[in-house]
Amino acid sequence: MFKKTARILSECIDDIKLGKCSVENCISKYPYMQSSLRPLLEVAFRIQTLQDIEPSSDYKNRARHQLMKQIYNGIEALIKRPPSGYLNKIKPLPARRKIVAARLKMAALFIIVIFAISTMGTGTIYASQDSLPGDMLYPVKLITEKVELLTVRDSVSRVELYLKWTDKRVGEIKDLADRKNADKVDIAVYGYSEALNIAMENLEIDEAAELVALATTRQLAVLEEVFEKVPEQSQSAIKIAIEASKKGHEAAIWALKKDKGENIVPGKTSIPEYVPDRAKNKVDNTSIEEGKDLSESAQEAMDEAEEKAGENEDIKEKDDFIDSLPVPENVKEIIKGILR
Amino acid sequence: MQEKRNTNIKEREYLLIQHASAGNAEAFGKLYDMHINSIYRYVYYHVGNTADAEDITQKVFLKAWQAITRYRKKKSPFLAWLMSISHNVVIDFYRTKKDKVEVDDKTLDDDIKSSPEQAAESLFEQERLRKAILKLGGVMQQVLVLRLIEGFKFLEIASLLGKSEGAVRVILHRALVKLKKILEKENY
Repeated sequence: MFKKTARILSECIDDIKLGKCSVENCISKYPYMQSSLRPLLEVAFRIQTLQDIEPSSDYKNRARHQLMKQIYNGIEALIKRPPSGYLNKIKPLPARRKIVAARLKMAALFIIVIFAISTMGTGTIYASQDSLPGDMLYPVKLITEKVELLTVRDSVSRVELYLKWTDKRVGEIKDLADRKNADKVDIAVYGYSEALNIAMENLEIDEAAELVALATTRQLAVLEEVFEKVPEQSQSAIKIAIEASKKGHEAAIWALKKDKGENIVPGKTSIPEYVPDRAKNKVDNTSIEEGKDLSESAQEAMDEAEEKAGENEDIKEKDDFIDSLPVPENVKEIIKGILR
Repeated sequence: MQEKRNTNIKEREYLLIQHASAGNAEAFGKLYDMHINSIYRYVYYHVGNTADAEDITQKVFLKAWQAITRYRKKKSPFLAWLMSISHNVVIDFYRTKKDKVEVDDKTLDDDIKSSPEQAAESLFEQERLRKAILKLGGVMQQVLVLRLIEGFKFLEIASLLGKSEGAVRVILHRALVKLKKILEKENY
């Protein structure tokens, strides 16, 4: 009986809330319960007027600022904290064992690539490189990207690799916008944000922080250009990518300046000296036209940084190893292509 | 139309959650903007005063940021997940608070649009209702606030509280009966 009354009361509340009936209509359906139902419904609907309790806008702003500060302080602690846990307790490998480990890593990579080529075919892998989110071959593209992780040996190279992927994701966002296929932009934006966040894990290394600052400068210009192109429903996703890019940029500059003992506040940073003059002072209010110039100048700066990092030497080293593999020449070329 | 809008909001929310899980603080800031009012209101109905409600709300969002990678969409809506954090923080608050919790004597809104008499009457009535709800306490107060103020569905409340839908309906019924008695006792 009690359960039945509770069910009827709930149904009445639901129906009245949805505008399906009035209090009187509902009560008239259950005349035998009129005396118990009416006062409870009246109380229930009096309570609904209490939705007006809200924190003051002053509190909301203050609390938001405080929360963001605490979050960024947490991120700062994370950047500065030395790596911990089990891996940190492992003693460094002796030199000879390091070489063996590196060889094993390359062998694993070789097996994965050969397996991928044999199962999917070389054409599939090549074709996947131009695929976009939503395409059938897009997952293949992501898998081949992950294989590249096996080839990097130091933190800076790892950051470079993740930044290369952020560039790819930005390219995909742009292509999707150009093709008026904005539905899948979310997937690329998520990939962008994820890769950028991993790249930001090494901001304590100056070189990595510089690379992040440069990459985000370049990407920000492109994203802001794309933002204007996409339909309104996709703008929120692009906005997230823009914000992630800005935060990445600020965090990178913050890390660089912090090392130099400069006192800066997160969210109120300036463009670092390492960014070329042409690109400076354009990030915060970049218009589409300016963005194009910025994109070009930042690309040049990135090229210079890549040269300095000695990327070519790494490529040569990888090429030498692949050349030594006992596989036909055309397969070697495919592996080199994928790894680049 | 309204349903489509709700779906868009949910999709946007989920996207923000994904970004926040990946460490994007700004995305979390947007989630904060979306839910601050509900969480504050929920906390307020448990502690009954602005100062504690503000402190606890702040703690809830910080805890949510720290735990966001553990949020699972299929299990419950994001707001329900925030509410469960709020509930735990409120319990901690009562555990650690030795002094009696103060209840606000005033929560007057500065933006009253109606006449001063009507506004005062309405505020007086609302304030008495709030105090009566605070007297309910426990799960009754929780169900009442979630269903009638926050508009949660019975199924959502059931999953949040780990009870059956039928049990939640019965709790709501009991809560309304008790609330009616409290109001009558105070000659409301």
